[in-house]
Amino acid sequence: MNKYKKITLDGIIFSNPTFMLVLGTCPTLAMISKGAISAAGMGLCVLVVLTLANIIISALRKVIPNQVRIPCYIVIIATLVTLVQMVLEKYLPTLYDSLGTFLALIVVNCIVLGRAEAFANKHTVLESAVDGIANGIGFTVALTVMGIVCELLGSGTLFGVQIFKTFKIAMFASPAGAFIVYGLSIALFTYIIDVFQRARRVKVNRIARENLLDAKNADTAAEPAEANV
Amino acid sequence: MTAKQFFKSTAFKCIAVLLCVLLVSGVLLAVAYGFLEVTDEERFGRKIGVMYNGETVTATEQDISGKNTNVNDAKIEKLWYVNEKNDYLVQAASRGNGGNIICWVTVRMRENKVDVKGIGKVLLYAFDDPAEFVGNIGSDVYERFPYDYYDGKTFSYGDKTSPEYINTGASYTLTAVCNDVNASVAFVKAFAKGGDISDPYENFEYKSLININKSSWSVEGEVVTYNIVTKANEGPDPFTLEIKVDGTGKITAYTIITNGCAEDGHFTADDYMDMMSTLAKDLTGKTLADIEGYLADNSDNGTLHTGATRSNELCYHAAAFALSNYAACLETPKEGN
Repeated sequence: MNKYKKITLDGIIFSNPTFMLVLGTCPTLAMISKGAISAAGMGLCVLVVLTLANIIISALRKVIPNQVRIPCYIVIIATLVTLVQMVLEKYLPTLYDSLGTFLALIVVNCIVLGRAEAFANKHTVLESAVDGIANGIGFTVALTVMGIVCELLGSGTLFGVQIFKTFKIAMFASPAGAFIVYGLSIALFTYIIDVFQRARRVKVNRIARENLLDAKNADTAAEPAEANV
Repeated sequence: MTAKQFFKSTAFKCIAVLLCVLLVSGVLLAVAYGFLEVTDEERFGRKIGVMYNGETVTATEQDISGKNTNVNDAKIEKLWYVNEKNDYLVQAASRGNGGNIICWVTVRMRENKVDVKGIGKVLLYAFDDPAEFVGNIGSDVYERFPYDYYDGKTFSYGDKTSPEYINTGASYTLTAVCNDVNASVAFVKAFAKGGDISDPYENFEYKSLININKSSWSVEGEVVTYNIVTKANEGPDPFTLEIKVDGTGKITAYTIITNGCAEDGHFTADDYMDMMSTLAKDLTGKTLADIEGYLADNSDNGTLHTGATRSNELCYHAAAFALSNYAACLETPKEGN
């Protein structure tokens, strides 16, 4: 498989930071309970910071000494987060207000530091950029989907548009309800991945078996010819 | 280690790289701040946009210096005139459940620009009251102010038996919001006519350490019964005292209901209560002259500096307030807040 395709699939599906690695739980619970817009906003902010951090850290991986790599990563990530904060405050004040403290807390988000430490400092700039984008998309999609569920159940709205006029379960608009949605989402996602991987294993086994049978058939067809000789 | 060895060492490389990263980050942020700084005018414009549903309006700040900005239980902090809407936008602050509740209130004016037409919108601007109480007051509560307004109406958090009563579970905070709204309307009514709201307690004595808004007094014959809430006094929290004064100019009953002595790094609240002067704990039978004597006595043998000076001071001031303002309070009782 193409390595970029593998990095992308790992980031979005097989090593999804939210559902498979359960990283960044704190902003996840806080943002999905606030609704789909906040959740998607947080996801996009992480995507931007993660991609840029991965690119810069990967570019500087041969310059930064091993002993001070973590402080350097933190400074780089904090700078990027501050820049994102400034941009949001200037151009998207509503989203900035809605993200609140959790925007600044991206600095200590395990996903960003985790990808820097586990991937960016060992791979090329292009690979790190792809990894950042893939993980960012994985995080954003996960948050948005859960945000949609929480918003629908908790407020009866979808991206702020009223869908249910009377139906709402207030608990789902709180971190407690978000926790339940998060748990169920992890279970569902893991189940789907499990089914998919099982089906893939069955398919691979079937192909291998067919190849083996083909090889055996070819051998048996060749033997009488040799005997006649 | 020689200098040459140091400059070739990993330690130097680490320091140099870290400093470079910091320097570049700092410069980058400084440059970005130059482009992306949000000015106070921009912030104000955004806030005011919320008041007028995103419409761009011009607000001219009005000079309220020299006016009495303490209106009942709230303080008027700022006032703007919104040209396009013929509105006054008021920023008013009031004490909630331990913190301040600052509201923006638009007061709509009639075409003559003098008479108040109604309330446009009420918005919570800022607060340092506990968030759980503030969060209990939903947008539906703020929307009721314009809806319920008629000339002469004042808002209160409500009579619990009334069908209109909203149980927010945050009565102090809601009271503060109501105070802000009432004060805004009252202030604009006077301001638009070029007048000022007089301070009913302007001539009261010994009020510097007394929270008049939270204090009350009732009259029965010649006896004035005060329920005095003091301010905090650089250490002790507010005291609450019940003091009765009769026509003879003496305190006839004196009870400390809430002792505000508070713990600090040196002593506990109980220690301070013990250290308080026995006189400050019971001033029954004392006159204003006695109290003024205690307050003026700065000697070590006096009753002020007993180790709990600030607490003694609050009690003496409460007693002096009750005695010195007896005549005024006898005429106009004040209900509790």
